Amino acid sequence: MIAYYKRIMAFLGRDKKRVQWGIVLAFFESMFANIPVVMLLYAFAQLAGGTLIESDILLVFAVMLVAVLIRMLLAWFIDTFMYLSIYDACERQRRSIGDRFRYFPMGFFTQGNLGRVAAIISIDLTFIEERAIRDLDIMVNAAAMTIIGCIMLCVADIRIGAIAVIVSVFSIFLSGRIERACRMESVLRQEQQGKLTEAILEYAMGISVIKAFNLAGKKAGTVKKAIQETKEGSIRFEKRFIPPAFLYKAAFHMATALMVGTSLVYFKDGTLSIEFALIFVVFAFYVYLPAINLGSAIITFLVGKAGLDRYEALKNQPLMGVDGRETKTDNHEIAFHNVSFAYDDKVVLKDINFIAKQGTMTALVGQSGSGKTTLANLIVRFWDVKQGAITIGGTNIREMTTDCLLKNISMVFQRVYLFNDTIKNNIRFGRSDATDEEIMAAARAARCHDFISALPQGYDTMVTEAGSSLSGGEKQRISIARAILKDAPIVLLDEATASIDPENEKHIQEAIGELVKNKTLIVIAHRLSTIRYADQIVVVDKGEIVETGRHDDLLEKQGVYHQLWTRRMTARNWRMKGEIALSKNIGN
Amino acid sequence: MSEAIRKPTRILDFATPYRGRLFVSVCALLLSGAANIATYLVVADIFTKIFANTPLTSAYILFAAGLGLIFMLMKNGLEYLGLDHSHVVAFSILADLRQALAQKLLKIPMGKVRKRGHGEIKKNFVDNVEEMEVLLAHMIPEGIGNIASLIVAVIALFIISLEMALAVMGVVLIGMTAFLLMFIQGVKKIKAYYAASKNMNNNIIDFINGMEVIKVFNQTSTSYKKYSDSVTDFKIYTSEWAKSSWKYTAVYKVIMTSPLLFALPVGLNLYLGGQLTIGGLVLSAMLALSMGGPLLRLMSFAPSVAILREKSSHITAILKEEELRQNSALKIPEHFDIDISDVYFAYADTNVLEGIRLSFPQNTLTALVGESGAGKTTLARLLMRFWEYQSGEIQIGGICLRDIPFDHLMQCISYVSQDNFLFRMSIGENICIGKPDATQEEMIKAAKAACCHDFIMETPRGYDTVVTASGATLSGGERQRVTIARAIIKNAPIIILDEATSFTDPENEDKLQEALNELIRGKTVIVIAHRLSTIVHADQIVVLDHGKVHKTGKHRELIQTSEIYQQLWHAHENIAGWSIAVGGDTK
Repeated sequence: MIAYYKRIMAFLGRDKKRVQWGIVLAFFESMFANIPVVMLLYAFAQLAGGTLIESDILLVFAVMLVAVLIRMLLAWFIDTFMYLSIYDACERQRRSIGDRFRYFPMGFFTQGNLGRVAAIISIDLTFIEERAIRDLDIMVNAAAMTIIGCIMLCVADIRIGAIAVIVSVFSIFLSGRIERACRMESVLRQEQQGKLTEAILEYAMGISVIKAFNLAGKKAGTVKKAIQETKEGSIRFEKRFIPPAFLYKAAFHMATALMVGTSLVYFKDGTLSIEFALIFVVFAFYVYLPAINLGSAIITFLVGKAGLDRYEALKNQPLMGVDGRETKTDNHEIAFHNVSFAYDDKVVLKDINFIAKQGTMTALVGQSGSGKTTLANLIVRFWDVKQGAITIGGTNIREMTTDCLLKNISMVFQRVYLFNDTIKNNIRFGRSDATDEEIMAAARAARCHDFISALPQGYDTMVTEAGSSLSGGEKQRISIARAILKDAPIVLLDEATASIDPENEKHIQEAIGELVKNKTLIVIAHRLSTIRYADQIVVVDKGEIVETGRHDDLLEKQGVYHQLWTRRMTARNWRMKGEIALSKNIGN
Repeated sequence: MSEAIRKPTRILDFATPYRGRLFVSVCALLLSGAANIATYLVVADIFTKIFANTPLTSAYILFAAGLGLIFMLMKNGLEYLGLDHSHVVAFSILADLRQALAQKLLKIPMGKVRKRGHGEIKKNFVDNVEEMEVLLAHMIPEGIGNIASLIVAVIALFIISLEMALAVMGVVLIGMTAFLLMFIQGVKKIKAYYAASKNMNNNIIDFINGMEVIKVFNQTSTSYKKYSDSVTDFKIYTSEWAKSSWKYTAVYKVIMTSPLLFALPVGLNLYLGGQLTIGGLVLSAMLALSMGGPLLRLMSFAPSVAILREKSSHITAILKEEELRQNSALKIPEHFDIDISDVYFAYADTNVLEGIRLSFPQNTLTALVGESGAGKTTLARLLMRFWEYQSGEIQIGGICLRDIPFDHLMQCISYVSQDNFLFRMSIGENICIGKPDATQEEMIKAAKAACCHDFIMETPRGYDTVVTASGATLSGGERQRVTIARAIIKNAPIIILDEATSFTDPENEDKLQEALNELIRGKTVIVIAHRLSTIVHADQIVVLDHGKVHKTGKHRELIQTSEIYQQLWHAHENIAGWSIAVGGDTK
């Protein structure tokens, strides 16, 4: 629990001070919250002495009223101090993590990670925002009230006070047990919940396959089983929590009964006044309430802790390309010197050497999984090379700042991403100071101008609104317009296009033609026919360069490239067979 | 308003089977409240004895303390008993709800399911229920518990003394008023807050999803500004909303935890006036003090009720979706000629298909061509009852689609598209879902025919390798070929290929094509293809244009007679010979 407190404080950063002030105020507020009970005890004491008169009643009311008003004021201050601080802290954390993203290796932003990261910043941080203060409040309140209660009791009568102190100390030990039980079970429960999510997700995503193959019985059975198991797991979790929680409370109940009994015994002995006897009998029921509440809150702390765990893990991701220097060069020759690269332990590229001369076109070809895409990604430092170096104009790219490196490069990805903004701003992304005329010129060059103009709001149409009406090919052309506008001397191009109708594909081809004019071009080629005229074709196989040369030379070699080319040509000339062919095969 | 009341009852319908347990739970929690009062009665008796100057015997002290302890333990035990039962109810309701959604998903027409998109399906079937779980699992048990203890306490107060009860109620009333005021004035602010929250979430997603582009285009400062502005906005609106609430929260939190404020002076007065015994005073004061906690906790549920209502409305909407119709007189087709007569289909008021009349004879290959949006895919999917068409009829082997049992219809058709969904089981099992009783030999034969065998053997455990969701084990193209093996082993008489040859894996396209050749052998085949060269040998080519059949015929006829087909063909020929060049002259 103390660890949780410290982590919240660390998260708060420079707002820690304000929150600590809030905690001090909360302590006072807790004290004032005891006033009604104190007044009750005061009244009983008076009653026992038979000295209660009407003015006492007025006094009791007045004191309670003042206490309530002071508490209201304090409560308002506390909320203001504490919550504004956590809002500020969350804002700062969100901004700083956003800033750090720029220096995360690009490989971090895989499809699987994207959703997770977004969830941490939006959901987990919002949870922390809502819970952390409340959790602090519960913890501090319990500690403060218990300590105050014990001190008050000890001052009044050390014998009774001793009972309270012993039980409170013992309860710390018990609460530790609850916490451990929770932690263990909650790990199991999260696993079970994860399994359920996976099962339901698979079922929902695969529903068309389930129907097409009449798997309803089998797959619905799997899901049903996962649902039942989760239900049983959840119930078991709650049941597991019951015995320690019952014991925890029971310990306080025993203390209460003991306090009542001993108070009465001492009263009977004559070693305790009637006033204090009455006070102790009632107070025995209230002194432990905050500690009891803490016991049932422990289970909810886990949520906040889990959120902090995920956030901290994200924050501690190692950064890349933070340092480096500005370099200016007019030479954009790209050179790989003995480059090797591995994802974790899996070697992807081995000893790569080649030079892409300025103003020429280099094509990277190879089987899928050969490493050609990784090769291009290394140039933009989506990852860093493990061995060797990549230089641009003679400078090692690791010695440049990321900004400086990327200034020189335009990239057209396989995965088109348009921002949730206007079409104009999406194109302007290529160069932020571009004028509207320049944007339109780029759009014309990328063959987008016509369809953009046909949209109801033209260039000011939001991509989301146009989203459904923009086809995949049109989106791709907008992304090419962006790259044309940037007009960087180096272009990295992934030429694979997804399922696009011929009309669109023609436009994309024209747009690419505009983009690559007079650039140093590196193409990740999937369909070899497009790169016949490359100045240099680099054939990659299982992470190694096996051949380099021009199209005709490579064909003559009868090597790997020749094989790839032959396969391509077979695929291109493929025709589905009609009735004649079918009737021949029916007999088989 | 009636709407608002009706919605949660749909979810509450799920509680009906658990009435018995709920009853036990409520009884236990009410008894727990009663045991609590019994404890206070013991205290009241002690007070009465002391005030009456009755000497306390050791036996009495032992008895009182012991009885008090027993009642406290009973309260504690009964409370957990009640919570235990209501937890079972809460988790059972959630399980039933999930189960109902899973069943429903099977009965909704596929078109409607797909329309929602993967993101929305996940949101509805996974996220929404999970969020409800968090709320329901706490609200049902704790809600019942708190309400039960409040009811018992209030009843007891009224029995002891009307004045005392009213005095306590006065405090509750003030608290409630503050709480309501907070809600009323918060409505406006909360809207701005939700808008800012949505805006921030969108910007977060945009910022992270677009990171590749942001980095490469060197636009970290501009896009970061957009992101960080929305974060700041969110903070501002959160603070504004919170600030406007705090004055009310301060009032109700403090007042609700001070139930003695009026009750104590009133009680003392009553006592002095002789209308209340000392026992009654002690008892009512302690009862009042016990109410603060449950009251506050109940109030803290209020925002959750609103969220719950919102979530459940989405879930109810799914449960209410229209299901696929099925006629009662079921027939099974004996041959597989497909006849489409005068089919009209509109999708949300937009006509997609108009007056389609076509026939696809058994064992022939028909190609559907046309620009994107012409209705090719919709037409193919109508055959599989993705949607109900508005008028006209589709028959397979002379039997209307609705008269064919849905299971059987599915057995008759294999649909192959770029969708390459595989289940998280072994590759072998994934293939065999096409034919559950297939032998090992049949499976391998199908895999070989689909050009899968080689790469499967290269995976660590061959056919027993489990396919992971992330797709790390198999590439997109490989996954697609496994789905073709699945279709080959299924051996359905009708095959629909929807853009199945597109470039998921251009490097291995030749393999994919071999697999397709194997699949369509001797079948009634319907093909949708952009690359017209692949379908020049089709027995029939249907040119669709804006949802209507423009022309049908063979390639050599259409190339002469159909202007649309000519355009499509030329576009196709143009792109095929293209190559990239940095010199600027593309060929």
